[in-house]
Order: sequence, then structure tokens, then C-alpha cells
Amino acid sequence: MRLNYLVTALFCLIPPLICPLEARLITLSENMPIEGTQVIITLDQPAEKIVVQYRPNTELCISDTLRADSATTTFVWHPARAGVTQLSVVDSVSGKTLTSCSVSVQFNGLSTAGLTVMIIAGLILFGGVGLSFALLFRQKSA
Amino acid sequence: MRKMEKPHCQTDEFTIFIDGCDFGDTQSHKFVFLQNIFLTMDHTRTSWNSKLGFILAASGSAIGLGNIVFFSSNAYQHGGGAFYLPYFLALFVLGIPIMMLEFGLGATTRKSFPLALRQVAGRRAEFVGWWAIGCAAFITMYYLAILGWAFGMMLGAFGSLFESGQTAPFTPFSEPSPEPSAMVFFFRQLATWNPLIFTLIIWGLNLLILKNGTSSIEKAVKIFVPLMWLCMIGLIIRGLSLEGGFQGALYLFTPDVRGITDPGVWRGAFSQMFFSLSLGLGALTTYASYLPKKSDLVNNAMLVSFLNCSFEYLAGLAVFSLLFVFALNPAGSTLSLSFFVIPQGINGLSELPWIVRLTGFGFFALLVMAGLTSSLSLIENPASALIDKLGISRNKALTLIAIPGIPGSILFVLPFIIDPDLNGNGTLGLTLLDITDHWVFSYSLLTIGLITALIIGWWTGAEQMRQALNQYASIKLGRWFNPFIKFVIPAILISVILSSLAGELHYENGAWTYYGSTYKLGSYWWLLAAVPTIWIGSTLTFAWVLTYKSGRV
Repeated sequence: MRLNYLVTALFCLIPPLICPLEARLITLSENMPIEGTQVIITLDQPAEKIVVQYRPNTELCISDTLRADSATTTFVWHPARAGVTQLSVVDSVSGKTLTSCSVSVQFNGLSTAGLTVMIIAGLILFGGVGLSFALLFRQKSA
Repeated sequence: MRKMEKPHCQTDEFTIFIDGCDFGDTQSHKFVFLQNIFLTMDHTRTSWNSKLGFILAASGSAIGLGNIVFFSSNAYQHGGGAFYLPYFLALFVLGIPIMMLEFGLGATTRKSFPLALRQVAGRRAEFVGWWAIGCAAFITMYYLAILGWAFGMMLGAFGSLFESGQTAPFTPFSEPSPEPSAMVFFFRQLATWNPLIFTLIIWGLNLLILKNGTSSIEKAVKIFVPLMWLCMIGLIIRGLSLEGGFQGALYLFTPDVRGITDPGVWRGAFSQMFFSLSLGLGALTTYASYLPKKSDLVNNAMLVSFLNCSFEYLAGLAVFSLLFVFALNPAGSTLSLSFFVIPQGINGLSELPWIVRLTGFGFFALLVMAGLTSSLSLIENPASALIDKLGISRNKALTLIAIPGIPGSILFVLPFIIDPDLNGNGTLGLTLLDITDHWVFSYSLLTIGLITALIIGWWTGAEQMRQALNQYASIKLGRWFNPFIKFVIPAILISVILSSLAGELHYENGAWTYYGSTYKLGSYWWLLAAVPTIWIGSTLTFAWVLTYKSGRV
């Protein structure tokens, strides 16, 4: 039953949602890019840089910038980390975000660390439930 | 301190206390504690019809809105897998031991939280108990308002929630939305009086169920809790079966080593565990007070904690699969994840509108059910305390709660727009809710948990509680339990409270910032100071009146 920080940063969602109204588009060569593999980003209007935020709105957010010598509509990107990633086209003069979109970067292969944590966590939690229920029913029948 | 004679009692309950008790003069306060428990134990108190009924009710109390959405949001914010190590540690060093304390208090005294504290540590402890009830009342008021909004979203699934072309009376939403937007729908709803009706319905449902006490609570949770699990399992199957869904699950669990070394991740994990298990409200003590005498409190605490965290585990799988498949950005808040982001994901689940509407309805029904089982315990908690203290009927107690509670909830759904540009929270109701939640939820529960641990650890004695818990336990608690209660738990809670307080005022980019300093409240600026003042003033007054100026105890 956790409700604190209820509406803090609520409106961080607004900019991405209203971006399409500006009729700027970001297109990727892969819908779900894979960590470490090349992706071509295409813009409908030229820009000089794209800001990449891995795990946006987290305490572990990392930013990277894709730069071009002059305004261009095509950028090459090698995603450095798996997870939800935000791509933002930024005006190089004003620094204002012109448009942004979110994309999920897949793990390159199976994440064994993730799978291990998932299995161990599941075993502890559901094993605990099973053990406790067994004890409860044993008491009931006793 | 009065000097007491050694008691001669034959009951099983009392014998176990005597075995672990030191009857020397220096320990006489512990003796008083034990004798009081025996002499004042309410043998006529109603009880659960079955152990399973209690488990369902207690787990229903623990599993609420925050388990479904806040856990995922918290895990996301703190690096997914990096969150799990501190999270699991928190379950064993904080969650389960404090739940055992709360169950132990309720089951041994058979009293609601304030009177249970009084029985073990005197009137000053009772004051703390009533303060906890007062704080829980504030939480109840806005919790039911949020449930009212969730109810409105649930109905909206078959209305315009998943339709484009929506507007809301706020500047960012003045143009029709090109696509379905749960956010625009939510804010349009927020600016109407409809949530008031929905909140009244939720209050009515709660009062109706609680009218007959434990028997009707048991009946309700036997329907709602399994339904809640079924809805969640359905959402997981749908989420994981989508392309990329399993990657989302791995994303939740894959550790980020940078997160493990970040103190903020540890603070988040420990806070999550405390709030998630509904500790510090006194509600679990009240529920445990209805337990049959020979209950295995250790196993009950373990079962409720594991059930709660298993539900969170499943909720994490469901939410993260959707987040990943639709590349959704949770933006860090509980409401944004449940009310805006997940519906956005649900909207992309199928081309068939009826599937989208049905899934949306199911998701919000899940939120309403989870919230309802928690709100039952939130209202039962003060009701039980008032019945115990004033000797009044259940109906009178519920009326006494509803009289300030319903108008209080209405305050949080007031649709008056005070911030049309949405720099802050938009309406007066949501602004009040935000400020209240920030102070009450962030500090009161942790403080009450801390005081409870200190009272039991240092005043009544952790060893006495350990023996009481072990009396009918299948798995006996070792002596390690005592230092946990006396040192480890207080140290953790003090560090979390202090670090939260330190974060209230900080220097950033050449200026001091504090909570709410970025809000554009206009002529309502005074709310930032008034709300915490009213909360502190009213709850302390309430506690003082109930402790020293009223009652038959």
C-alpha cells in the first residue's frame, strides 16, 4: 500500500505525449534495437544532435549525445545499455527539446544475471508461501 | 513502580510469559506488563472464523495500490535488479520482524493498537497509538479519494478512456488529443464532480462490509483477494506473451552494480518494504487481535509477508513486460504509472477495441479490489480502537469515523482548478492530496514503527515478546531476534527518517529548494505550510483527547 511521491514528477510525461503535435518524427531501423548492435536513426527534419538517455527518470540514468558536424537527418547509434531509452532531438542553439521518443533496447542474448535473480527471488518468495501454507494446514489438521 | 506479587495462574498464555520473566524489583515494569495482559485480556472479543480468513484479510490489507504500481516504479527507479538485494534483505531484517511485533502486540493483548500499546507500556505509549490512528485517518481519507478516481477510470474503460480527441480544461490539453490518452481523461475527470460520487460509493462499500465486523470482512476478502490474484496472473500472461515481454522481465531483475553502491537504492528498498507491508499503521495489530488464542504468529507473519512480496513479484513481471514492450517511461510517480502509463500500454495490446476496453476495465478493477481490501483494514483499525476505548457499538464507531472521514475525502477530490497550466497539480483536491501524502506517509509510519520497536525492545523487553511469539510457533525464533528489535530495526528506521529529512531542504543549482517550491500555487501558497501544521496539530490533539480525556479503560 505505497502512495508517497504521488504526483512528484507527474508532468515529466507531458512533453513526450504532446511531441507528436509538433509533427517531428524519429524513426529507427529496428523497432527493438539490441544492445551493442548498430541502429540507424532517421529524422524528418535535420538536427545537429540527439541526446540519448538510458533508463530515463531513474537514479541510475546515463546520458549520451550523438553529434553531427552539420545538421543531418541520419544518425548512427550503438545502444550501450539494455532497457527503456529516451531519444531527444535538441536544438543546438537554444538547448530546447524539439521532440523525443522512447525505445526499448533488448539484451544482447539472454541476461543470465537477470534470469538468476528472477529464479532465486521466485524460489524464495513462492517457496516461503508454500512452506508457510504447509505449516498452516498442518496446524489445522493437528 | 508498584511492587507486584508473583501471580498464580494456570493458563497456557500466562505460563509462557512467566517462564521468561525476571521478577526482580528492577524488572518490575515487565511484570506489570505481563500481569496487565493477563488481567485485562478481552476473552469475549470476536475472532476470525478461520486462520485462512485472517491470512486473506491481513494479506489483503498489506497488498494494495502501491504493491501493483509503486513497487514496479520503485524497482525501475532504483535500477531493477540492483533493487533486489536490498529488497530481500529488507524483507528479512525489517519486514517480517516488525510484522511479528505488530501481530504479537495484537494477539497477546487482544486489543487494538493504542490499547495494546497502553497495556504493554502505559499511557504515553497509548498516546503514540492514537497518534498512529490519527495519521492513518489522514491516509484513509486520501486513499479512498484515489480509489474513487480508480473507480472512475474503471468505468471510463467502457467510456472514452481509450478514445482519441479528448480535451481537458487545462492549457496542455486544450486541443483534442490525436490518440487515446489516459492522462487527458484523468485530468478531465479530475476537474468534474464525478470523483465525489465515486468516492462516496467507495466509502459506502467499505462501511457496508465493515458493518458486521470480522465475518463480513472475511466474506469480502474471500472474494476479492483470489480475484485480485487472478486478474494479476491474467495480466502477466498477456504481458509475457507479447514480443519482448520476457525481455521486460529480465530488465526488472538484471542487476546494475552501480545501484548496489548507491545509498538511495537502499533507502528506497527499505522504505518500500515498510510501506508495502502496511507496517506502522496499527492495522495489522488490530487484525491480529481477532486471532484465536493458539495461533502461530511467526508463521502468520511469514505467510503474509511472503504473500505480499510474491504479489509484488508478479506485479513487477506484469508491469515491466508492458513497460518494455511499449517502451513506456514511468516518469517516477505512482499515479503516473498506474493511471497513465499502464493504460497507454493496454491501449496497444490489441487492434480490437473490446479487448482493450476489457483489459483496461480488468486492470482498474484490480486496482479497486486491491485498494478496497486495504481500505477495509484502514477503517477497521480506528473502528476497533474506538470500540475498545469508548465501549461503543460498531455502528457508532463507524459513524464517528465516517463523519470526519467522508468530508475529508471530499476535500481531496475538489475539482476547483488552481493551476490551469499544470505546473503543479492542477486542481485544489490533487494539490491537497499531494502535500498531505508527502508529509503523512513519508514520516508518520516510519516514526510509529520506530517507536513500536523501541517500546517493545527497550521497555517491555524483546525477550518477552520473543517468548510470546514462540509459544505456538512451528518455527521458533532464536535469540538473534532480540538484538534485531533493540538495535538493527531502530538503526535502519532512524537512518531512513534522517536521510529523508535531509532531502527536504537542499542546495541545488545555486539556490535552496524545498518540497513544493516549484509548484505554482498562486494565492494558495499557504497550503504548503498549512497542511503539515494541520496534520501535526490535529493528530496530536486527537491523541491527547483520546488518551487523557476520554474512555472507560
